Amino acid sequence: MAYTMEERCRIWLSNADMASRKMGKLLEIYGSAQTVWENFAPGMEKALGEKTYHALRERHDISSLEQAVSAMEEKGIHALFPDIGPYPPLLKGIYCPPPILYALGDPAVLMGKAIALVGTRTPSRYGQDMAFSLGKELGQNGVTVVSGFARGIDTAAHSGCLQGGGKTAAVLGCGLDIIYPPENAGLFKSVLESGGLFLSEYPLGAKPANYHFPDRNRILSGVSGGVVLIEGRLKSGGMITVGHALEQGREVFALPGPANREGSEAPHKIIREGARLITCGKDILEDMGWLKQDMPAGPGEAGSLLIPGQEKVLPLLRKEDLTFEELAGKLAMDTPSLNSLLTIMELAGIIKKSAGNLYSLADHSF
Amino acid sequence: MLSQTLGYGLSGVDGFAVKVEVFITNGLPALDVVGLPDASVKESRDRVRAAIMNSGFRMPVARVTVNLAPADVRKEGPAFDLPIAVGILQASGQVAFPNLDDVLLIGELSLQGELNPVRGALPMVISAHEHGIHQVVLPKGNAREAESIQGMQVYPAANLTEAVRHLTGQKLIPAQIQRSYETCLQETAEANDLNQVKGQSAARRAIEIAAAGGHNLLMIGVPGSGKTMLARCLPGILPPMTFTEALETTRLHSIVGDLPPEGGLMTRRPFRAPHHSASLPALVGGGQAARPGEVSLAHNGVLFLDELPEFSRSALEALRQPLEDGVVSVSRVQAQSRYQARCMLVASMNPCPCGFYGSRVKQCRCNPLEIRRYLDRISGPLLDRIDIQVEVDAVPVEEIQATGREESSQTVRERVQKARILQLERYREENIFCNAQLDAGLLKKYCALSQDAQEVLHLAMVRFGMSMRAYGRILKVARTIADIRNGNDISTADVAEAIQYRNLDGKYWR
Repeated sequence: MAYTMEERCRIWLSNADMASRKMGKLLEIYGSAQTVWENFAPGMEKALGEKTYHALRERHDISSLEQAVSAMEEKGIHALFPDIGPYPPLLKGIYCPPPILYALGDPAVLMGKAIALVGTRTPSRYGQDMAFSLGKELGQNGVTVVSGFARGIDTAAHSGCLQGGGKTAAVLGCGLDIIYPPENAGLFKSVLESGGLFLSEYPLGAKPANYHFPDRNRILSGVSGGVVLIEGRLKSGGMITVGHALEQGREVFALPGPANREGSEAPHKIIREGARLITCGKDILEDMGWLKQDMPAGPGEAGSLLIPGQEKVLPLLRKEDLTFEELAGKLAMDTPSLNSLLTIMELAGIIKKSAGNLYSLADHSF
Repeated sequence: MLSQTLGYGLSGVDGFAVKVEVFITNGLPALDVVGLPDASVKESRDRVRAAIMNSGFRMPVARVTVNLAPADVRKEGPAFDLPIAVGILQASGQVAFPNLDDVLLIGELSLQGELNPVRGALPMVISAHEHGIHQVVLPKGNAREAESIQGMQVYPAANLTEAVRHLTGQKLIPAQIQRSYETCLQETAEANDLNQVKGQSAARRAIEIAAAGGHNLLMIGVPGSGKTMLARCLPGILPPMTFTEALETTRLHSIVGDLPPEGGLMTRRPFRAPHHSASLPALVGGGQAARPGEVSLAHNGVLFLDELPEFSRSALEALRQPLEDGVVSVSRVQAQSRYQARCMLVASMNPCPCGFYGSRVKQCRCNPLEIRRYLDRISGPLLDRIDIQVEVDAVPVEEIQATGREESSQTVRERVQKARILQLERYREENIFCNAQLDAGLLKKYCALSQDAQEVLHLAMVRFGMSMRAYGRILKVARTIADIRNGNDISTADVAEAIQYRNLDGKYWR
């Protein structure tokens, strides 16, 4: 990849662990990264800070620059810059857009419609299922699903989008050569194979540190047209992302939940403060003005499959999730018959079984 | 003078005849025992001397040599005290016995001359009976063990004097009334009864299916969900042991000295629940004395491994073979012993390290990596042998809708028994006796599916990414479900139900 000298200099600055804001200020003062490179002198130490200065000095030679670039190339990682090339257009408009962004995959996915799905890392099953199905619906309708690749809601959102055959973009709080969390190694592959994108402000080798994530959140909302808060507590990363979204003028959506569950705290709060209440992907598309007249009718209408006996079970599960024991108690059915019926319904995709013998409706199958 | 009496030694589960020869001659007073005696047999000398003297007889002041033939097989245990003592009395001319060749003498002597019970009396009596010996004098404490061997005259004696008087004909001991096996059976105490378990319909059904087809079972549930209680119900719903099975089981327990005092034939199927810190030899067998392990003591019964992931990998690995073959080979310096070990395996575990994943009352605090590592501890090969997997949910007691009409163990046992009889009939020519033992070839022969049933199973294979082994397990379980309802062919509903209890090789642990 032929990077200009200016671009290489920005890579140089980034590899010294210089945060975007700092780099932005520096570029303002000096006008360009190349100027910094050319005028690099011990006098800068005070302004830059000791650690940064030394990190820069170590790499202040042409061969280091080459090395940095080839390390990126080996892994297929590109650097994106605001004025040139496929930099996400929406991101250019935010306050202090990152002077350099690393990308792995196809940046084109952020050139069109994109919505961020965010939420807690320890969701309830409801939250997880809803994140998945929202991701799927958006994916089915050509909207890029943006999220943070974290455990919980993020992972469900990315997975749902892929399941719906859509494109997804993940903004990471670490270098693009690090897969975090480790159990998402499979998902990492799937995202790339489906033509998705990974973005990061952080250079290769940067570990996922706690303080990276709030900054990363402003990118999440920055590349998207709107943010959906799915589940989270009052003091959560999701709320931070919502804050950024408001500053950036993005749409804010929230998914309601059971009133007495802690995961519903944050969404319910912002709904009261004016965020748009949504229950399905169609609501989001409608509010964003992306609804086509001939949109395919909502999520799959299962239940058109005729399974004798399901009419006894479905009304119960529409109200709430029930364990096998509870179902057996409410229905006048012997255990073997109930077992068989539930299996058939499970195989047909109408219901699903999870830990503790708990049965629930699968994916919006009303 | 020379005398000869008959004792029996134990090698593994079998007894072998030991001719006890006693030779008294002039010389410095000594009492030597030869014929590869172990420590406790060597100590016989002191016990026998004291017992003889305290029973009103005289210990000969001469050179006494006792030979235990065959001379190249190791003799163990204190059971030879009685034949040695009687032999000495005969050889010293103090007592005149008629021919003692056909009477088995077993017993440990106390210094006072009392006859103490010994381990392994039942296997000795069985072997002797097989070799044509029909009379046995043994300690009172061992008499009941042998009570169901028909055709054997069992004379329980309390001490050396009684035994001698009986053998000379001076005062005969009445032979123990041998009881038929059916009579013994009627006295069987019940295991935990299923009607004590409230709710848990999915788990009860799983246990019934497991019992009916001999399938191994894994229960997953939060702590306190009643897994152990359910497991203990299992022996009570299995059909009662046949006489052969009872003999086998009692024999094994007799060897380790596990029969209750004055205990007769074991009629209730054993339930063994070793702690997860049990060593490999304790579980499988072996050790210095080449004892049968827990898996053998569970023969014809249930081996319950509570908290399966806590067992050491090597111990679980060692269990693989006995679970497959039904026998354990234990090597000793001089010989090899084979102990039977055909049992049903029931295992239980928590769903995650903290135990509360999926609980509605407590939040699980484990992260996915911890859960994965915990679940990976269960070795593949062991999991492979488990046909049925069920989750036992812990719902707070108040919430359980007790229908008040929970079935009793007896009701379930009747269904299980009928299903078992069907299987015995079906597999008469095949050398197996329950569905769990079906291999790939026999599966094809006996578990054909209708078109609809096949489709459902195929759908499940795709949906759950099932391996061929999981497929085979589901077929076996479906066959059992059909047997319980007395159906000839496996229906779609049977297959669907079997899928509920699927074990997917550890995948889909959510």
